[in-house]
Parts: sequence; structure tokens; C-alpha cells
Amino acid sequence: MDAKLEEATAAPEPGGRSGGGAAAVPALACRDLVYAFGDRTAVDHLSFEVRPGEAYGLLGPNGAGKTTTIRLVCGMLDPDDGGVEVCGRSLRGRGGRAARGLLRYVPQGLALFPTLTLAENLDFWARMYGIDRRTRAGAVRRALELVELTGRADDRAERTSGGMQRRLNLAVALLDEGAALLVLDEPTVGVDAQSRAALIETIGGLRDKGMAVLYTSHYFDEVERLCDRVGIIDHGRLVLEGSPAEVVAGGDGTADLQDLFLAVTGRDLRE
Amino acid sequence: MSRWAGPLLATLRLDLRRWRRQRLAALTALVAPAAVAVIVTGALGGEPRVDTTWAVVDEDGGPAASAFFDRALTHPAVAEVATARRLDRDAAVRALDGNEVSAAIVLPSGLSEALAAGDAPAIEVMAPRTDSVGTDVARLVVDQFRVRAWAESTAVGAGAEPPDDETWPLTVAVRSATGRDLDAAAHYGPAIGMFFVLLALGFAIHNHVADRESDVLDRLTTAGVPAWTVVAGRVLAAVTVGGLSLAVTAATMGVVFGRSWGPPIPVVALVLAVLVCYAGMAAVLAAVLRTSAQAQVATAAVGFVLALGSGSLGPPGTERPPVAVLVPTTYALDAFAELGVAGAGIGAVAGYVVLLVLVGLGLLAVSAPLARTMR
Repeated sequence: MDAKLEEATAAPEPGGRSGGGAAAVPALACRDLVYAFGDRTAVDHLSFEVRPGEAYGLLGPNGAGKTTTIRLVCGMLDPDDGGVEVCGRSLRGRGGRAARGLLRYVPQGLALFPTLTLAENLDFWARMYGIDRRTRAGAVRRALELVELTGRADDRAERTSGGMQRRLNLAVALLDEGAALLVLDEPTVGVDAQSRAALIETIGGLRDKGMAVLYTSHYFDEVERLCDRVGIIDHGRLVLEGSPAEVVAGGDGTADLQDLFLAVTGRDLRE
Repeated sequence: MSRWAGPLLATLRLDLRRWRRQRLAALTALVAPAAVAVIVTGALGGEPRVDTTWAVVDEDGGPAASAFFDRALTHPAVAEVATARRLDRDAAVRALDGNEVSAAIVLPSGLSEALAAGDAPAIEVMAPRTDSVGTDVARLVVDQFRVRAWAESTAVGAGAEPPDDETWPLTVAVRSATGRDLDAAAHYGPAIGMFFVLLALGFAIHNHVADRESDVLDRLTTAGVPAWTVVAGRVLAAVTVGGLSLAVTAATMGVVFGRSWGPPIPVVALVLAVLVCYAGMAAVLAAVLRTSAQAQVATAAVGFVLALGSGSLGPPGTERPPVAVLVPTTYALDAFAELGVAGAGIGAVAGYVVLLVLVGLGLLAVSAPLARTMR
């Protein structure tokens, strides 16, 4: 983490991960969020926190309010009520821009340009993130290293595999070392098992270095492997929260997170 | 770099790079405008063209009717633009209904006697449902024939020498809505150029919508990038490419055929005004369209309205539809027609330039708040 992030959050524990120390300012705090599309409430008084160095998995069936929550967290939607703080700074009002500067969003879609090379894609995003010209080339190189795509830097994105494109999609969020919170919306959709494992490993590495991660996925194994805590939402409300082990233990004796999810919501995750 | 200049320039650079990487980029922006300019200019030769057919009904059968056939219809100025078919009244009406002729001229019974008596009797010109240039020319020829025939009969009656045919004041000129001579090449040239500008803007709109669908715009929003800068950068890239196509069209017509659009400074001012105007329209569309399907329908519809509504696809002098007054392309074409006149300067098109720029700036201003909700 750089000075900007250090200033914004409490110092992580030795070894990088703060693991959710009680004194730390949360990297993300959602407080009593409410959002409705017309008369349909998509997010209903939702509150949760993600601490520095913690990966938080947000689970829910289709239509549960996951994507709307992500959009609220990233400032793409303004909540009808409640608020979002990134490292103690509200997304709304004067500090909104600074707060947004601390989060990086990895969308479900491939927000890339197929006819540009991997390096050109990252260069574009580096410009959009306002990374200084003097440090831009270094930022692109480092991001490619983080997702192990250095050797393909000059290949067009359209000529790389789906897994590589997913890694590039992640690399965009890693251009700026000032980011404190990584928000990933189903980042492994359509990726083979090997590439999924590589992505999870990369994201786990970032978490270990002190970055907070908010993660949604349809893959339970990913969530159990990566996330320190999970929150299960249904009809826009948080119905269960805790570490994967706690959640399973506190349930009705079901074998794993997937069975528990089914028991809690009465629905399969892919519905 | 300021908060907006960086993203705007980055988007401009991005789109120009994406355009360059398209396989058909050079073909659509450079080769096609040049090729179409060569074909159209070569085919039309820059001359005003009217090619029409009239039905002529002879109910008189006397010397006046013979004079109409032998002298009026064979006059070089008339023969160049019109062909006459001698029909009876019923056949003439059917030909009109079937759009086979642009007018039916009826030489009434008793025409010769009336002229001999020093009268100037009416000669009926029947028009189809929709008038065309051919109908107007028929009326012109008939009016001039009546005046001429009456003058001759009066002169003969007074013992004076009738005027000779060489001085018969019969001319056919196709003019613009503002009364200027219309040059077909100067009409189609800018119309072709503007079509390619629209094509480039259409691509930009499709790119923008595709970026929305692939979450690029969402990601830009979370990066704190002002939405309008992305739209502006994108439109700027498109008008750069479209402007290049327009320049290629003008240069091809100038270099290959010597057909100038007019003096350089007013032409450049007018081209820039057209680009600003179209940029405004594209910015609004890019800001409001959400899906590729919407973009496809909307860009095609707008293209058709701009082309057909202004009459730019029709021959010069074609009567424009009422909607033309609302279509900016109409004013652009009128302005280019003004510049086709010898001696026309910036003053001839200043009003058009101001109007097009104001429309463009107004639309750009409207697009900014619309783009704010670009996700």
C-alpha cells in the first residue's frame, strides 16, 4: 500500500493483512443502504463492512440485489437512503471523488478494447485513472506482471484467450497502487478452471498485501477459498453473515456453503 | 492536464487508434469518398440536368399548333431538356396518372383562330399529382409560346416584321431554392461528403453503445471520469475521420474534374460548421442510446431523415418535402449551392454557418447532462 492508502486506513498487521482488526477504519462501510427501482425495493436496509486486508464474499441468487449493491458501492447509483464510505470517506458530497479514487472496480463484462494490445489497453485506463505520464509506463508494466501477462503485452486483446482477457480485466484495477478496495463483480464468468484458480490466487495475493476485496461470484469454491467473511443477501437484505466456517457451523448442520445457501434462501444460487 | 482534458484526449486517441486498426478503415474513409466523387462527378459532368417527357394534345389542328410543334418544341433550349409525345386527351391523362410524363400540354380547339384575331388564349398544362421541374418547365415554355405567338400575330396584323427565332427569349435554367444556378456536381459533392461524415459518426455511436454494453462506461464512471468528456472525445475522433472523408471528396472533385466547391475559406468555414452540427446530433444520440439494436435503428433513421428530408439524394432543383425546413442538411446544401456561384464569399454563407454552429452547440450542450447518466 502507498502513502495515500496508509493515511486513509489504519496500519495493517505485520505481513500485510490486518485481518479485520477492530480498531481499523473499514475499507468499505455500507450503512443501512436502501435503493428501489420504482416500487420494487432492490436493496433493503443493507449494512456490512469490509476491513483492510479482508476479502468479503457477497452471495445471492439472481435478482437478490447483488449487482445493485455493487453499483451503490462503486457510486454508479446514489442510494435512496443510507450511505457508503470508503476508508472513512463518504462517496457522496465533496469527498466523493477522493473516496472513489480509493476503490477499483472489476466489472463482470470485459471492459477492454479487442483491437488494442494488452499494453495499449492498460495505457488507456492508466490515462483515465489520471496516472502521471512519468509513472504510466511503469504502472502498465507492473500491472501486467501482477497478472502474469508481461510476455503478451504487445498482443492484441482479441488474440488472447478468455482467461487472459479476464486477467487483463483485473489488471486494469491494479494499475494504481493507491487503491484500497477492490470490487469484483463475478470476475471469473466464462473462464476455465485453471484460469479461475490463477485469478483467485492473484486476488488472494492482493488481499494478503492489505487490500480489501469485495467479491461476488456464483462459484462457492472460489468464495470459500478466497473470502474471510461472506454475506448472503436475498430480496435486498442480509440474511446471514460470518466466516465461511462460522456460517456453515451456525446453520442447520448442512455440509457446505452451497447447501446452507439453499437452506437459507430456499433458492439455488444460479436461479 | 485538467480533469476533463486528459480523459477527452485519451478517448480521442483511443478511437482514432481503434479506427486505424479496422481492416476497412482506409477504404471507408478515403477510397470510397474518392471513388464515389469520381463516379458522380463523371456521370453528371457538373451540368444542370433536366430530362423530362411531356404529352402534347393537339385539339386545334391549325397553324398555331404546327408552330408549337415545329418551333417551340424543337427550339434547342427546349429540345435539350424535353421530349414530346403526341397523344389524345385520354391517353395524356393516363400517362400523367402513370407518371410517364411530367406534364400534358393541351392546345385547345380554336387556338389558331383566336391568335389570328389578336387574342392570347389560354393553353392548358395538366400536372401530375406532384409537380416536378419538368412540370414547371412545361408551364414556362407554354407561357413564352403564348406571348411570342400573340406578339407575332399582333406584329403581322400591324404590318410589322415579326421577331426571328434566334432571339426568342426561351431559356431553361435549374436554380436553387435561393435563386442561384444549381450545379449538379456541386450539389452531389457536398451531399456525398456529408454522407461519409454521418457514416463516421454512426461508427462512433456504435462504439459508444458497445462500450456501454461491455461495462467500459461503468468502469469509467467509477474512475470519476466526467461522462461528457468521453462522448466529446469520441465525437471529436469521428468528425476528424468524417472531415477527412469530406476533404477527400472535395479534393477529388477539384483535382480530377476541376469542380471547385467554392473559395477555400468559406468552404472550410462551412465544412467546420457542418461538422459541429453533426457532432451535436451524434453526441445526443450517443448519450441516450442504450443498446446496439437501438443504435442500429436510430442511426439509420437519422441518416435517412437527414438525406431524404433535405432532398440531398434527389436531383438538384427537386421540390423538397415540408420537413426540409427542420433538417440541418438542407441549410448546408443551400450554403454549398451559394458558394458555387462565381464571386461568392464568406458573406454568402455566413448566416448558414452561424445557424449550423448554433444548432450543433445547442445539441452539444443538451448532450452533456444526458451523458451524465451514461451508464
